[in-house]
Amino acid sequence: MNKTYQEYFKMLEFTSEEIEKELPRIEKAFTKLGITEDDLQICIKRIKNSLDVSLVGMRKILKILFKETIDLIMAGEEYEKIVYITLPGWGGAFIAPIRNTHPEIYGQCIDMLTAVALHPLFNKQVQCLETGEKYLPAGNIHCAGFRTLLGAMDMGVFAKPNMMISWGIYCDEGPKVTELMAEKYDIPIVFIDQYQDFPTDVGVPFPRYVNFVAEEMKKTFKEIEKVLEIEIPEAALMNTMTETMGPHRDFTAIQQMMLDNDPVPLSIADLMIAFIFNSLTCSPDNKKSKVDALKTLRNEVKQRVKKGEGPVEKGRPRILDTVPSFSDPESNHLFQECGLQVAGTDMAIYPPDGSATPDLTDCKDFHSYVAKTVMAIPASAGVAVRKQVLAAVANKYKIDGIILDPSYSCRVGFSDCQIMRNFVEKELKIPVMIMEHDCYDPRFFTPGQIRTRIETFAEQLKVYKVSKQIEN
Amino acid sequence: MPFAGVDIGSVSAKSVIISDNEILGYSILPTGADVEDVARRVLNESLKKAGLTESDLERIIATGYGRISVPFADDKMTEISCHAKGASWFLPETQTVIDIGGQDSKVIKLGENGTVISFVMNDKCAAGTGRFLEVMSRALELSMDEFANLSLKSLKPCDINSICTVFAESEVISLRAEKKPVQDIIAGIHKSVAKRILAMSTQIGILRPITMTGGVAKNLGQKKALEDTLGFKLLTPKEPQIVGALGAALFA
Repeated sequence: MNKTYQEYFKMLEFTSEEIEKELPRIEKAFTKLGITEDDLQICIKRIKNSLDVSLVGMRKILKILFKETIDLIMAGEEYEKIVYITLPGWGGAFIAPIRNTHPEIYGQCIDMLTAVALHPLFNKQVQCLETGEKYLPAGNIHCAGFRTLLGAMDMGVFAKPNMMISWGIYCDEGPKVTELMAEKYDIPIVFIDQYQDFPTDVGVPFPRYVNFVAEEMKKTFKEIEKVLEIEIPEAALMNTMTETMGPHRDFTAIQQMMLDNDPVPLSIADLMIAFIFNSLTCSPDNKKSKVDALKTLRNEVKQRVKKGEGPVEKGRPRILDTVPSFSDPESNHLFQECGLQVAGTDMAIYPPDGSATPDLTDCKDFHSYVAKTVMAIPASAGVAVRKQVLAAVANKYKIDGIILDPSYSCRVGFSDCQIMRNFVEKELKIPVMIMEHDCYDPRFFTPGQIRTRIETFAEQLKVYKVSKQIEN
Repeated sequence: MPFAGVDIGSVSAKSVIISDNEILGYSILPTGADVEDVARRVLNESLKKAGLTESDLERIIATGYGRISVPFADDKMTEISCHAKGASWFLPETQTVIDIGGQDSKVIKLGENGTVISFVMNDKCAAGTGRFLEVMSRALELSMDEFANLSLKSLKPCDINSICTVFAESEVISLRAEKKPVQDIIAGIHKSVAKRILAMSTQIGILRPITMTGGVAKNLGQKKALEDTLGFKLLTPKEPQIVGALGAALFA
């Protein structure tokens, strides 16, 4: 193994024994993906420049993401059946009871894992996207997450699943595109539907919506049992709930510490990796490591809070970034390079008060627990809730400005973007910037353009902070 | 105390020397390939016009896309903040700035003393920028001056539908094949840029008076198209191309 490979695996905390054991599988997966030494050099630079690998927890997370991606690539050879579930990330919890009770079945929240791993860790997302674009044209409507998956399947990197589960939680387009993929590959597919017409005058929880999704989930599990010819006992669902709660609590504690403290103790680039990592289901081998990784990161962040440390110095403008990039830590890292502290994302804060923990006290079973967690995320819950949460966060956590990120190939963020901008400007009276990007597609990252926007916003916020201090 | 602002844009490099709130000298050069070299040359030229040397300068601020490649600058600011500041210096009544530069266009809403309240920039597309106009003038085999002036003679601007520079170029070639008067084609091109700016402006809600800055503000045909599209007159500083560099010097 040459120097580049050694450096790469060292960065990911692999011991030489682990490498020796895993190398045949890794080499096979690398060949399927077409990984070259150049790719690894790019990844080393990308990770070291944009993620805080001085944090043991972050290194542990990256290692598990690497191993999970290798498992995904090898799944076709190593498992009897495969099931993929699409966005949102809580699909990870959905898949866990299947894997826990049926080790012969591989399952993954596929577009979340590919989003967070293929570009930063393997430098292969663009290649998958370009391949996927043979079937789904680039640009708006067709989600880059789906294009990546389609491309990877077409390249033979990901195996054709025996079943796909598609959420219509965020968007009506997801199930349609998934259906197109099902037709192309003749894959049975089941949809978890949701109303797309949210009330504009009430806050969450919307019991009707949560109950509907919970019922859809029950229906979906029955369909899974039928198609995969398995049984998923009720106890497995409750066990999953307990199993996911631990890491979720650690993640929410990290997000909460970022909201509560100045300096913000962790970069948004690192938080996004942890956010998606938390939502994934892990192979049996990695389950304990996942718990340990998030706990370690939580403790490290706690230590930083105690010492008053953070990637950006105390007192710098604090912002909320609604939907940071899933796939491109370099663009997320730009905020701190421009002197901005990102205290969180509205994908990881909840109504009514904008804290990082959803109120799940009334959730009696697995279905309502997952349904409510998903439906309480502002992006799932409509404009009224987004407004409620942004207002609460801005006031409670001293947010100086908000960045709204409509994603080119995602209709969810685009549709309410201007409404939210007007709301922040007129009602919250704090600076707001719309920053178009694509949360999956790193090709939309143009450093010059994005940097100019973020730097200008930082300059605007500095002036805003000074004038606010004078006012007070 | 003399201060300098150096604005390295995608098309041209500008430098302004100020002292006691007065412009002592300025210079404009094509950017070319060597950013560091042009930054040095444009500064030296402006210093020469001001009758000063670099050692006389208190501080230098760099702006524009090439701001990170000006090693002798003491600090850097974005061109958006600098255009806001510079426009407000030239025309203090300015509430909104429309800056059409070489590779991007911006609409900037101003607060007190030329601070930025809100802004919007074009995306990953050259439509609505100076580069778009350059490509079109080349397609029509006209110099930029001829291109700008001919537009004013148009009585019936053509419709250019495309929002993509490359597709718009093919539209222009088709219009030429249809023997449409060249002045109407150019006026149509200017109108299409103006429509892009209008779309951007509505996103942040522009306030009047509006000042147009950047090299494209010298293009009277484009200015007229913008005024026709927006429905009111635009202000233009005496030398619109140096507004960013002036803003940088004022920040220094």
